[in-house]
Amino acid sequence: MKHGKRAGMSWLWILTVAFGLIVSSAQAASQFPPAIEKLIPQAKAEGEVSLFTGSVKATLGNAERFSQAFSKHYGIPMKVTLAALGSHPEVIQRLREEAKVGVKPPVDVFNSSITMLYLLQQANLIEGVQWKDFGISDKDIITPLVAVDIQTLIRAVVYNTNLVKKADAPRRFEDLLDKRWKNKIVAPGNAQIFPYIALVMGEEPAMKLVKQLVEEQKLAFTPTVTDVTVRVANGEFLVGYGYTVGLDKKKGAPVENAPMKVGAFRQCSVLLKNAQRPAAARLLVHFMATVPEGKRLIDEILNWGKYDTPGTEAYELAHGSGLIFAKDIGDEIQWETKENLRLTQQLRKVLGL
Amino acid sequence: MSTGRRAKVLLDPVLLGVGLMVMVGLILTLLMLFVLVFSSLNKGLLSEGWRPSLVNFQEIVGDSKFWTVVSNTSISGIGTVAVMLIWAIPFAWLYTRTDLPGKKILVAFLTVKIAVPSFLVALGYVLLLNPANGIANIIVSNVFNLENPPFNVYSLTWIIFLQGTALVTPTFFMILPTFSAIDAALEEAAFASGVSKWTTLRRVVLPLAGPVILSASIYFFIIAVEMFDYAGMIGLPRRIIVFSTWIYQLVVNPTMDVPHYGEAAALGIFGVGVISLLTILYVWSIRRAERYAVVTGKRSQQSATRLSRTEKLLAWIFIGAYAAIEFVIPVCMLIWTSLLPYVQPPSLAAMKHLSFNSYRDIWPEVPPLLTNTVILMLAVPTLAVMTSMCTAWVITRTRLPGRNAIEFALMAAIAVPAIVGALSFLYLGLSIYKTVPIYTTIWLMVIAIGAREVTWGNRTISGAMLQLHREMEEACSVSGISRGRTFISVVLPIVSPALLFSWFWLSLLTVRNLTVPIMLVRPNTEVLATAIWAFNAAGKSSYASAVGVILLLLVGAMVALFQLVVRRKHV
Repeated sequence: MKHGKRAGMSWLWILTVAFGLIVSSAQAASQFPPAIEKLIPQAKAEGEVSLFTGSVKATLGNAERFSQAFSKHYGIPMKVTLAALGSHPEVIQRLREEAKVGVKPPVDVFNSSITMLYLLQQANLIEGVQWKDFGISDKDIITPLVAVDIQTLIRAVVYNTNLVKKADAPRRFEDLLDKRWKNKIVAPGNAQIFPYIALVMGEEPAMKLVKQLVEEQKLAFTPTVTDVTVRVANGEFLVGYGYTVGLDKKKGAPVENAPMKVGAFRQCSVLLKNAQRPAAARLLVHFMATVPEGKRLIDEILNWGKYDTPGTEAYELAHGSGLIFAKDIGDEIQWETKENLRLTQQLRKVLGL
Repeated sequence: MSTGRRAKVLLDPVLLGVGLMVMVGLILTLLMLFVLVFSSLNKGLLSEGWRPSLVNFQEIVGDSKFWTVVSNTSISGIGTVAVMLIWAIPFAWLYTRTDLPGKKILVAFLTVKIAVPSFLVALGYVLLLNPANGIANIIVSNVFNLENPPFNVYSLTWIIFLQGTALVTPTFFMILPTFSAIDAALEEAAFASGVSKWTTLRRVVLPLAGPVILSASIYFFIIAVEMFDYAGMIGLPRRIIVFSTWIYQLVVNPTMDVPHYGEAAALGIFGVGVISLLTILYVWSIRRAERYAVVTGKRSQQSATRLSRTEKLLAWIFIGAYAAIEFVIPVCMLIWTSLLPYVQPPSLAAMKHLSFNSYRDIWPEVPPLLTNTVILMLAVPTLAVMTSMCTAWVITRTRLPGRNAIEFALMAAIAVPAIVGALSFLYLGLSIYKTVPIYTTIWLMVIAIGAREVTWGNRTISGAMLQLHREMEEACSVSGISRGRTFISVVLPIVSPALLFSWFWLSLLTVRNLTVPIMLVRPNTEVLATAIWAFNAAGKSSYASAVGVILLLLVGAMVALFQLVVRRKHV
C-alpha cells in the first residue's frame, strides 16, 4: 500500500515535470519570431558559425563562453569562431579576390564600418536578408547595406588619471591646445581617425585644430588605435585621441574618458554572400543585435558596446557628455562614404602621414 | 652546351633534380617580381584588369614626404648595417676562430632572443628611454641632477641602433659558415711569421670573409629598409617616416579605401633599383671569388686563435653588453608584461598586479597554434634549403650561361615588399584554386614564406660554396665521377654545416614571419606569430607577451635540439 502510494506520487511528479518542460519549451519557442524558429533546425545542422572581428582577437576560452550562451539561448549545440583575420581593408580585398574564383568566405558574418561595408556591397558580397523579419528594429537596420547596427565605435579623448586630475581633463577639443599638453598628446598615425572631430566642431574648425595639434602641440602618433590607450596608461603621454578606455580600464589601468562631446560611428554586421553557414550566421546577428546576453558578451569579450545598451561604455558616454554621429548632422551613408573620404585625404596632408 | 654534355646532364638524375629545384626557385621568385612590376605599372588591382599607367609612381614621387622618406630610409639602412656589422663580425670571429671559453652560450642567446616580438623590444625601450617617464631618464636625471632628460628614444639614431642590434643574429648565422670554413693553416702561417692576431684578423680573415660580409650587408640593407616595428613604435610618434612606415600606411591604413598595393609596389620598384646597383657590385666582387677559395682538398684541422685572459674578459664584456641590450632587457620586458593585466613601467606598485592569469587564459589556444607553427617550422626551411642549395651550386660551381641572371633574380626578390610578395602568392593560390585547392590550407603559407627565404638560403649557402677550391671537383672529374655524384658526395658534405645552419636559422625566421601569414591566414591556419600580433592589435599586450614567452620556450627547445644534433654530427 505504502509502495503503491509512493509509485503514484512518482508518476505524478514525472507528469508535473514533463508538463512543466512542455510548457516552458513552448514558451521558449514562442519567444522567437517565426523566421528565427524556422532557422533553428537549419542552424543546428550547420553546427558552427564564424564572425569576423577585425584585429580584435578573443581567446578560445571566451569564444567557448560565447558558444555556450548562444547554444543555451537557441537550444541547439553551436560552435562560434571569433576570427581576427586582420585589418578591414586588407580582408575586404581578399574577400573580393576569393569571390571571383568561388572560394567560400572564411567567415560567415562580417562586422565593419559603413565605409567598409559600402566596398563590400560594391563588390556584391553582401547577402540580401530581411532583418526586420528577425525582430530587429528599424533603427538598427542600415537598409541600403542590408546591415545591422551592432556596435558603436567612439573616437574619444582619454587621459591618465594618475597624472591628470579629473578637474584638469579636457572638456572640449579646443582644450587640447592648452600649453600643458604640448608634447603630451598621442593619436593613431592614421588619418581616418580624425574626420570625426569635424562631426563635433564642424569642418573648418576641425581642420584648424588638427593643424595646431600637429604644429604647435607636436602631436605624437602610434602604429595602432589600441596603442593610444596603452601609451596613455603607461604614462608615456598624458592625453590620447582616437580610442576609448573600456578595455584597459576594466583591467585596472589608470585611464579615463575625458568628459567631452566626441564623434562616433556605427559598426554593423552583414551576412556574406555564399557564407558556409547562412542559417547560423543569421542567428548570430540576431543574438548580437537583440539578445541581452549576446549584447553583454560582445561588449565584454570584444569591447563591442552599443550606445543604447545600458551598462556599456558607449551607453555611458552617449548619456553622459554625449556622442555625435554622422546621422545627427545629415545623411549618414553620404557622410561615411563620401565626406569622410574627402576629409581624410585633406587631413592626411595636414598630419604629414 | 654541346650535345654530348646535354645528354650527360639529361641522363644524370641528380642534375635533373637540381635543375628542377632551380626552376622551382626561379618560378617562385619571378612570380613575386612579376607581380611587383605589373602592380606598380597598373592603375588599380591586377585582378581587375591591365590598365598600364604611371599613376602609382606619380603618386609616390609627387608626395610631399617622398624626399624626406628617401633620406630617412637611406640613413636608417646604412646606419643599421653598420651597427649590425660592428656586433656580428666580432661575434662570428670569436665563435669560430678563437678559444673563448663558454662560447656556445653566445649562440644560445643569439638564437633564443629571436622569440621576443620586436614590438615588445621597441616598447621596452620606449618605457626605458622616453623623455616623459622613461625609467633610465628618471634615474640618470635624479643621480646627476639634470634639468632635461638625457635620452630621447624618439629619434632616427635609436631606430638605427635598435634595428642594427636586432639584425645581428641573422647576420651572424649568415656569415658563420664562411668564418667556420676558413682554413686554419692560413692563420697558423701568419702566426708562425710573427704576425699578431689582430693583424691576422684584419689582413687574412676579414678579406677572406669579404664576399659574404658584402652580400650580408646588401641583403640586410634591404631587410632594414623593410623593418616596421622600430620605425613604427619609435619613429612614428615623432613623424620620422621611413619606407616601411609609408608602406604600412598605404596597405594597412589606406585612406578609406582598398589597400594601395600599386603604390606599395611602386615603392618596391625603387628598392629593386637600389638592389640592382648593389648586386652589380656584389657580382663584381664574386667574380674574383677564386681569391677567396679557402677550403681545399688539403684542409688542415682547425685550430683556435688563443686569446689572453684580458682579451677573454673584454670579449665577454662585449658579449655581455649585447646580451643586456638585446636579450636581458627584452626578455625581462616580455615576462614582465605577460604577468600584468596592462602595460606599466616596473615599480613596487605594479608588482601587486603580477599574476599568471594571462597564461591561464591563453592556454587553450596553444595546441592548434603550435601545430600550425611546427608545420611551418619544418616545411618552410626544408623547401627553402633544398631549393637554395641547388641555386647556390649552379651559381657558384658551374659555368651555366645565365647563372648571373639567376643570382640577380634571387637578390632582386628581397626588394619586393613582403606585403606585395604575399599578395603574389595570394594571386597564385587563387588562380590554381580550382585544380590545386591549397589556397585554404597552410601549404600556401609554406610556399609563400619558403619563396621569400630562398634568397637568404642562397646567400648563406653560396657563401660557403664559394670557399670550395675548384681542385676538389677537378679531382673528381679526372677520376671519372659524374657532376651529380660530385655534388651529392663531395660538395654537399663539405657545406653541410652551412646547410644545417641555414635550415635551423630559416626555421627560426619562419616562426617570426608575420607579414606573409597575416596576409594569408584563415581561421584554421593561425600561427603563434599571428596570435601575438592579433592580441597586441586588440590591446591585449599581456596575452601577446604570454604567447611570446611560449614562443621563447619553443625556440629554446629548438636551440637545445640543434646543439644536440651539432654535437652528435660533430659539425
